[in-house]
Amino acid sequence: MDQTTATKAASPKDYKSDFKPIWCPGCGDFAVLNAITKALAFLELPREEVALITGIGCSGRIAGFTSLYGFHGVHGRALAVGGGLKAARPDLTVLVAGGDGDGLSIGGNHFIHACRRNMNLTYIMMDNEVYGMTKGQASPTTAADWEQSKLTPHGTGIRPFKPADLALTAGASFIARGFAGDPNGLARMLVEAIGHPGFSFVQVLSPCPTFRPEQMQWKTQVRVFEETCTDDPILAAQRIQADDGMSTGIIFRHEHAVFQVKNTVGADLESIEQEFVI
Amino acid sequence: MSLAEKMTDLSTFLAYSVALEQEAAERHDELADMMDVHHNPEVTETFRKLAHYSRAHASEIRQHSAGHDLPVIAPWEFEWDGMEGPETADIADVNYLMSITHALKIALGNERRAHDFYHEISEHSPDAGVRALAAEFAVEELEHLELLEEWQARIADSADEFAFDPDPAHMPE
Amino acid sequence: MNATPSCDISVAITGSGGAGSITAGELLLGMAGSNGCFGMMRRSFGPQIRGGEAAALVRIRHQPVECMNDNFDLLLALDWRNAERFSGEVALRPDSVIIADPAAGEVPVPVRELGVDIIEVPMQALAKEVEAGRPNMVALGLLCHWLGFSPDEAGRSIDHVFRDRGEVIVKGSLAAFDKGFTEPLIVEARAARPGPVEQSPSWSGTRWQVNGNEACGLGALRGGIRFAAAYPITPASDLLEWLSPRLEKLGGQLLQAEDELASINMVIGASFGGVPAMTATSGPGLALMLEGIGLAVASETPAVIVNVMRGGPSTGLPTKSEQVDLNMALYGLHGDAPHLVLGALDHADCILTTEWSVRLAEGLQTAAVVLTDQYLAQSRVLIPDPQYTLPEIPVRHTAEPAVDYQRYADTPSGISPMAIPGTGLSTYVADGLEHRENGKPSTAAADHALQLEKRARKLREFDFGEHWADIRGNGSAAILTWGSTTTAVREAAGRLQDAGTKVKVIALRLLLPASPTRLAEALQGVDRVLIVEQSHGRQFHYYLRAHYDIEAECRTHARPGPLPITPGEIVEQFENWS
Repeated sequence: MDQTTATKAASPKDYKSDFKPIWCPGCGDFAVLNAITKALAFLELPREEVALITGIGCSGRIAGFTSLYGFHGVHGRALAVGGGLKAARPDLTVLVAGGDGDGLSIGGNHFIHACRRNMNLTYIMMDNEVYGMTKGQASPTTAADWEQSKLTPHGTGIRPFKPADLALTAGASFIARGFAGDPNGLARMLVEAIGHPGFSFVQVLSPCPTFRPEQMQWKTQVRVFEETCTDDPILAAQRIQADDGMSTGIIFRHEHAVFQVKNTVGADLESIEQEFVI
Repeated sequence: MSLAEKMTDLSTFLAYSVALEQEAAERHDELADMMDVHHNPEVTETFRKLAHYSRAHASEIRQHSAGHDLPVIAPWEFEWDGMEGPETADIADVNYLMSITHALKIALGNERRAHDFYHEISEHSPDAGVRALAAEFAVEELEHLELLEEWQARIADSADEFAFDPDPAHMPE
Repeated sequence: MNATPSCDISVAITGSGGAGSITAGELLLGMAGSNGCFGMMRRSFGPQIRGGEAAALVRIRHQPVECMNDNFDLLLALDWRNAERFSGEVALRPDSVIIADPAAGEVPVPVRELGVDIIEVPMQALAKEVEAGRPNMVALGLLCHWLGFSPDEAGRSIDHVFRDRGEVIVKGSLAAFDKGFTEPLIVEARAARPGPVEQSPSWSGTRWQVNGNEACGLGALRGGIRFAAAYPITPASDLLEWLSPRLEKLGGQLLQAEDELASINMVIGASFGGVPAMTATSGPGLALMLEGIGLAVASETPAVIVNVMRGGPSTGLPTKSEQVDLNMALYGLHGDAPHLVLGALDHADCILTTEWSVRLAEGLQTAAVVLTDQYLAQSRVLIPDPQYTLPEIPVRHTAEPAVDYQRYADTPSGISPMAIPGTGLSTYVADGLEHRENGKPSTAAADHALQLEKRARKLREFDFGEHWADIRGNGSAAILTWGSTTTAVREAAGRLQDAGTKVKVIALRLLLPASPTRLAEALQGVDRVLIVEQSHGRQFHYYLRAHYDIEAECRTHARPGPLPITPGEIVEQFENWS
């Protein structure tokens, strides 16, 4: 590798496939792909030892644009596939990615249980507050008064989830919020998230230029959290509640028991079969 | 203290310069790929050309760096003014219907900021060697700017608005 | 009737409110085991979690047996509360015997009207004569005497069951057992009746005590399963509970998932990672898993799903048995999604069928649904040491590191080498979306056609060998069945044989892919076919019509649960049919 490059030996390009993303130009997911590959390059992880598991939606396509092992599963179940993989193959670095619909609507149950279970996984939620792939319906993070969907022409009338809030309540041990307009900052967050022992949740504000063109203004509205990361869930809860959802940073980080399998080879099949003999 | 005032050694300056051009080149490639997938060949070509210029400049800078041990700086540790390097186009500042004019406007902005970055350092760095090299690089950016302005002048279309696509969005999944 | 009717006795023990009829039944089965017998025990309950009415139904024979008889020789009622719940399941004959406790209330009128002999033994009073004595242990003693068992092992069995409750209970239970065993009333009553067990059993081989759920678990471990993810559901939970500690001991694990949707997807994740994986569920859970099973098929990720059928539809009859998930297993996946469906035929066959299913799923890189039912799963049997051989099946075909690796490359067999994460160079993205050979999503006609044909071919062209069905006997009449009804069908065939009607029993183990050529061969020379199944909607009947040409004259005996299909009712089908 060229000694004079100012980055580490592995290059982000090594982690990209030759399949070019089909996302609309202007989509925030490009920055997420950019950040993931930068983070993996920084960590110098061999690409065959990383798995990226995704669900359905524009964001779910991201696995195909990487040259990692990947699984493009069905809607909402990526955290389950990733959980099974990590439990069976703790040696792999397992990343799970999806959108706000995939993660908080159909996948909601798996999300809260993944937070609670605290496996060593990193979950990246590309939050564009809309269902893009199916042409623009409200998602669980869409504001109650967004009236641009034909399915909910008066707006949903329902207050949206705060993903970071849900993650904290469900027991996630690492919670961060990034913004697609800052891919380098996001890359740093991902490096920290991957390094954190336990379930890391990274919400990424990722604008959708096609169905939420007003989100192109997010870059003027996003700011960095004043406070530094805390390990006190009460403080974290207060910060999240007091925030309008547009502050970025690593919000909460706490180390507690990581889900481990307790198994040791202590018997063989023959001794198990003996149990049946009269 | 500004970044320019802190830029005291040549190795660090070179590291910043390589990263600046490298990041810009990669970004131009990303944008070219987007335009390619969305069947906008003229803008694809434009971004590819811009990527080529950035890569060429990065190559030059690496040659300058022969013999120097450049510090390894993580992408987020660079103290740029904005969130990314000055020559890096905003990844979201594109539209599949954009024209070459739009692309060149972006490129002009990139080159101006890059020029300003080098210029600042050429003025305010405490190190003479750094100042000298930064001045060279600033001149080069000016040359790029000229090229781009000429290019822009040659372009027939002057549409400010994006073209119009009559088809609605469709659902691939 | 068997030549030695005394060697085949069916006993029911009923009681309520913590009477311990189930414990007595389990101990009775254990005593039968230590006395060299074969047997089977089922259980039936009221809806209460504890303290409800419960019946232990036990059949004991000197020869191997795996189904319950048509009726019971003896009913021991510890009390009569809510006993009418069991009247359908505990059919009595005019020459059956009831042992009842006069202190437990009047024998109900319907029972008295049967005209059977009632022997009154004051079990509660006898129990009170010893410290910590309980009527169910007195009952156990009575029954062991009645059956001609040696009491030698009683001490050890009772100690094993009651050890945790302390020395006093153990001693009291044994003392109560002795009271019952030596009770003069029962000694006289037995002596006055023909047909108690005379000879000793003569089986010299090893015997096992096992239930269907445990047998499936063992089959899975034998097949190589080292990961399970599951959500509890009746009647599959015991399988998971048996499996969990034993998986751990073999270096594997069972992950309790938050729901069935997570279960099947976790199985897919683990299998994608290279570890053979399974889940176990019942009808309502299988319904939730269908999308996930389709994902396993489309992404060609091996997965084994054991489905322990129960009464349906919807929440249905959770603690009862029916063969009513066949349709869902066969046809429940959306799209054209060829996969494997197998059904275990008896308790020992739960081991074989599950092991075979695991090996097939791994070798063919597909999903296998293994159907058993509550009848097999939750009844315990004393059986000969299960011995079987399976054909050689290639293990999962894994890929070496290769540049330009094509995960879904077309091959003559339809099976593509599968790269396991960690293998350099051969990274790929598994997908539920239709794809081309390199795995990239595609909607192109040629790609869809190729992949559909490939996934179909890998099953169609595979030679499943002899185990597609279990075929016994010969004759111009045949009984065609699947799953647990096989046990009753075999016994019925034996009775018909004894009465001079030769019957061939064909029990399908492999349901999907169908085997029309093989069945046609098996039915050569057969002019009458009786189809037997436990389904109101005749799911097996319609499956046969869809996939097979049967030229013989067919009749279908299809009855829903909850009562088990008996050998007697099958024999009856041949009564007016020549």
